Amino acid sequence: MKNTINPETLKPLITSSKWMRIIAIIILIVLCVFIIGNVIIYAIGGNNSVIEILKNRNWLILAISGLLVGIFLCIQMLRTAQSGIQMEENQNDYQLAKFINNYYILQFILMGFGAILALNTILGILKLSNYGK
Amino acid sequence: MANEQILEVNDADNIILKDSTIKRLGQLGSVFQITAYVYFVYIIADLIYQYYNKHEFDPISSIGFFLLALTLFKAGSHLRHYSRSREVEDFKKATIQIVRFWSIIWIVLIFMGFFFYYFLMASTFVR
Repeated sequence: MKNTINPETLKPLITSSKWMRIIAIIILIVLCVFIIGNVIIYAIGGNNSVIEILKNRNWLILAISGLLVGIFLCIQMLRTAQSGIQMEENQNDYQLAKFINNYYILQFILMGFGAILALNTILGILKLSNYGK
Repeated sequence: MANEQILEVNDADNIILKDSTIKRLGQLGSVFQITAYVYFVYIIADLIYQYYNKHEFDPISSIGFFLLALTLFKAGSHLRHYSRSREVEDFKKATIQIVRFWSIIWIVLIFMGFFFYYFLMASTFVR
């Protein structure tokens, strides 16, 4: 047992990594289907494509940047999950340090996502209160 | 070996991490807590927004985000505590909260996705 991390202690981290991987794959699939589907509908000239609606509301750039952040988040989730799952075989501190580093980046993306949501909502409140005057 | 350089062995044969790794875990805990605070700000702002704009009443995503923020806060708190106390129990508690966080994301994603598509489809059919 010397120079190895207690496997039982790391078990929840490995489980969370497995969850993370499943969630990342599902979000990636949904994003891809969403993008490809809408591009096809837009290309064949459908009026009901989300691209058309967003274009009319001048939200297209915002939506594209949101999608890019989403894809980046998924990739980082997959990287973090991968380094977490690898701890099942390599139960050492180096692997844990790698996992922590990846988790740092992931956590900063999640924080940025929350900050954008909060800012957007606060701006929404300010806009609504101005309408009331 | 790189692995051995950052490892330490204790008598109880428990989790054996070097100070630098434990410190980084504590820092990660701080990042967890800051993220939780950001989410709490969002939740409060969202509740005020929903109060003004009753058409966008969405209590389920608010509850979901609150649970996410709470688990993040708890995980961060346990990790920070672990970096000070070095008790394996604190590390275990933190990891359990992290698992909970990723489990709750399921619920939030499903409901946020549901509401997003609901509003989008509604606006599409109105057109």
